[in-house]
Amino acid sequence: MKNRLHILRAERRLSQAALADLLGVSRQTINAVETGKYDPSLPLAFKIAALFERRIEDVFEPDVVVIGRRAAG
Amino acid sequence: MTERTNIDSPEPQMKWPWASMVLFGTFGRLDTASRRYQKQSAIAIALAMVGFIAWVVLATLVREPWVSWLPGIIFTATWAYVAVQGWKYISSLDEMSRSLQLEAMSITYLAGMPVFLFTFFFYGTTGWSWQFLPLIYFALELVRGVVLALRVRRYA
Repeated sequence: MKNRLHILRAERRLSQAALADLLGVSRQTINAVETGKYDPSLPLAFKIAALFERRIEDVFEPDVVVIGRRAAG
Repeated sequence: MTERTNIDSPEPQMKWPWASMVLFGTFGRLDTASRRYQKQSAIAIALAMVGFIAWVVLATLVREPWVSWLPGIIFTATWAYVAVQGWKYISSLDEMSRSLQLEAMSITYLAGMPVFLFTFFFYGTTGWSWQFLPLIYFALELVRGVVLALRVRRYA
């Protein structure tokens, strides 16, 4: 999953450690999310979006969007 | 106070406490919870060893049946305490660290099951006894640390 966390963090001039403190997670988690190596849980994703006052889809973007079709009949 | 950063300045390199992960299965250097868990476990095991030495002395002086129960009680109580503290430690971690710990634990103990079964079914032919099992448990703890370090490599 792609995300704009690095940009949003830089806009606020926050270090990874500072953001980690604000979110109550480790700096390793922030680094892994930023580099796309770790997909955060939904509660953490919402927390990140709320912290930057954005909608969740403004911060996170799935690699591929698959919209399933409803089975006929 | 919130730490501000320059957008152009690179973040310090991400470091993981490899030695602590392999030896103790914790993120020792990174958080106080890890250090607390390591300290509590070390004290509990040290006390168990002191208790065991005291039992050895006691066993030579007192020939009562209850004396033979003491080592089992001492070590079972110690490991129950370590297990509870371990669970509290894992619960205190943030989501990625917790998921890494649980992954390492599940891989290790699922892989350990065939080893335990092997010792159970073959101890008759190999001469091993069930007294061997605690040693397998300790070996599994080391394996867990190695698995944890291997899983963390994804994020290093």
